[in-house]
Amino acid sequence: MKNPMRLTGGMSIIPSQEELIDNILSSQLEKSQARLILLIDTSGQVISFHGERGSIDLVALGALTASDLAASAEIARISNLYQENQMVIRQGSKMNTIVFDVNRNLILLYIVPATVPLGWVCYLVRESSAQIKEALSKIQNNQDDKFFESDNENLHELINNALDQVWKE
Amino acid sequence: MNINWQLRQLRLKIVYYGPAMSGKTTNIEQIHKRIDPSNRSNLVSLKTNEDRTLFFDFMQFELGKICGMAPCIQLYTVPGQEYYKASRKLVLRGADGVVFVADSSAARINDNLESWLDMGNALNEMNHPIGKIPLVVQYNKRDLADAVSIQSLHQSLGVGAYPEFEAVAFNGEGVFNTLKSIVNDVIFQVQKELQ
Repeated sequence: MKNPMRLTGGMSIIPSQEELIDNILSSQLEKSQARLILLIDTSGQVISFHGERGSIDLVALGALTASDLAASAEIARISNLYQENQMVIRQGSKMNTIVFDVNRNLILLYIVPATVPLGWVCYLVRESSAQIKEALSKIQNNQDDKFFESDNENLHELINNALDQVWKE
Repeated sequence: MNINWQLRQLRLKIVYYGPAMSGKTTNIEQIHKRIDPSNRSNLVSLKTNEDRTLFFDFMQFELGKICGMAPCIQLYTVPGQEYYKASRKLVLRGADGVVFVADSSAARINDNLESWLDMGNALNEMNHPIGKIPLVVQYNKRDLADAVSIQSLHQSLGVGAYPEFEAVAFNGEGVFNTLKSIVNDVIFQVQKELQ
């Protein structure tokens, strides 16, 4: 008999939580004059973005941001300097980027013109992080939708058909 | 895993693990080449000057709706070289499923085993030991003159009952079957956990 398996965790976001997060990030965008604010999970998956997308590849940006923070955290850990809610700041002549560890699941990225005082942006990043955490804790995520309601055989067929459709030989 | 109920989108992370030069990046490149561009992201590769994977390769693709949900699959590879152990652990973090890509060459049996054990340790450290996470094994480079038998590879790694596939990733053989298998296993796992 096969061992029972499990997934490694992750997040489930319901519409009311998403709406609250959207409101927080919209307001932050205005206050910080950010070009872009991105909320991603720790595996790099984009949850929400606000600002000018332009030609930015958000999928790649999410993956790279999560990896950037993970690498920084590991550098801190190896150096015995790790602390929770770390912030990684990259200062540029035109733009600054700030990556912040919201909690064990979430990461915030701000891309802000260098003309905006960095201290102010760091304050706002912490503020939005606290607001997001509060929003997520306020609303019980009791989503009870049935997920992939289907018998096993049929589900296999559906998954394989979906894969066949995107695959070119 | 990340579920957005508003968009009815399910995002899953699958990591290709294995020894250096076993064909992890080649698998992802083949997948990238063969998936309809309208359904996939660009391929992101963080490489050294010698064209070896420094941190990871990454791509994402979307599947059409399945029972009302739209799965979005993220594929990562780890760097294979021994000295990138710390980076491998970071990439493995948050994985919903793993593909272990073994090199079929007789000369690489020990490298396969070291990488398998390294993966096992990393998963243990994350409290997701082998046996508790969807896992598929691919025996790549089956076209090599010194390729050892599947049975020997299976025994040397102690793979157990996981799905196994033969592949020549360089020309795409076995790549899709491996992908299909891990995507099925991961989605089934999601279904089971959310029921």
